[in-house]
Amino acid sequence: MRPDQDENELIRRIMRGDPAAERALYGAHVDRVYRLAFRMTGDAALAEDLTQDTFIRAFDRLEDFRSDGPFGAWLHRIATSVICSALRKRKRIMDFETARDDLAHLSGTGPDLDPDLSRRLDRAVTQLDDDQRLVLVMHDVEGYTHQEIAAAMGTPVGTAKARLSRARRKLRDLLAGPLRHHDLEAEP
Amino acid sequence: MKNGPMDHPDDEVLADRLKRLNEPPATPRDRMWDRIDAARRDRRGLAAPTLARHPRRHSALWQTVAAAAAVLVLGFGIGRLTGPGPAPLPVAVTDPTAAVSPVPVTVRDDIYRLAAIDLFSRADVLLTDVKARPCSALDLGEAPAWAGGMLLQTRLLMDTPVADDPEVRSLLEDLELVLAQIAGLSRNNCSRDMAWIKDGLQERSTLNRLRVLADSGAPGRAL
Repeated sequence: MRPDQDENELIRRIMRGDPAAERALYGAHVDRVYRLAFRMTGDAALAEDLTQDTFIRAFDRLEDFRSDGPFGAWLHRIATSVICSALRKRKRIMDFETARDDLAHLSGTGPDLDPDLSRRLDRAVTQLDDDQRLVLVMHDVEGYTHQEIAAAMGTPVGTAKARLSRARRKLRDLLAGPLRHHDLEAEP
Repeated sequence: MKNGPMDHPDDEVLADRLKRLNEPPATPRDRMWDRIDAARRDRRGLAAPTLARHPRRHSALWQTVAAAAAVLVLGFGIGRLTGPGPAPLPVAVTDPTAAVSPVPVTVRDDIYRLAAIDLFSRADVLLTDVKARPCSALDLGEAPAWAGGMLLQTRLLMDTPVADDPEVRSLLEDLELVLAQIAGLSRNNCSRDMAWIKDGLQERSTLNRLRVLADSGAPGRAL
């Protein structure tokens, strides 16, 4: 039996009121949703809330899911909507410096990363549009395929690819100069 | 991650740096599942309501109500000392050290902000609870009283600089309406009014806005 067939069976059991099936479906997808929410927000508590909201909405609307597509794509469409909505609201109420300070404080950096480089990279990523950041994080950081990203964002694959390309270019532009020539090339 | 070619030689290096930056912690699977499961059960009416499953939450909440009220009154008092108002009448002060030292505006604003964050957090708990329960399971002695206390604080906050932020003011106005509705709930009108309350919460995304503002820790940050 293929994985999507297994999932369709789980969904049928959920529709019949089987809580164990809910847990199993949750277990199969929660890591990717949580990691994406965390990467996008830099805030563990908010990522938890957004992950929970995603699954609650998905279970509530399960009858809307059409089994001719992968459940993961449908779930990620909900997740990206929940995450982007939260980011838009947060953006409206936080000035840029506050957001940067909070993210820098919460996110920490890898032990082998130069703090200044990390701060500049983090700042540059935050300056991307939400859609650009989402596609960059999904593809380049979390390893989603173009097809998965397109399904999650409700766009054609070509649009998702173009958005990724624009995001990368903008990131390079934001980091142009000293970072590329000194930091990146100098570090192992 | 090798899903496709990079556009530029630096892209792979940047992607590698980004992966190591802001690395997510281990997924708190069980904790999140417990909350999802509780929310699902509440919606289906399969379990005791949220607050009943956390009996200690009530007393803690009432303690924070008192604490928040104190903070708000303090903030309000300080606001009166430092905020704009009519020009003081000239008074001959013989001992300058006896004059009240003005509290810095930034301190005053932080106090208002703390009071707002606290109000939003507690309103989140109340509204989540009310939203999840049928009338038959709602404590119509406690919930309206609780809402009444928060209604007073909401109205006080509407007269502070925190409400200068349009986002916060809009939320306070929505909160005022829904808290007034809950404060007026009784056995006679519960079913009808509860439908209005739930529709209003849904339409205005009140809970989501409360959570975002409370989580941001920055309502009225534009002060």
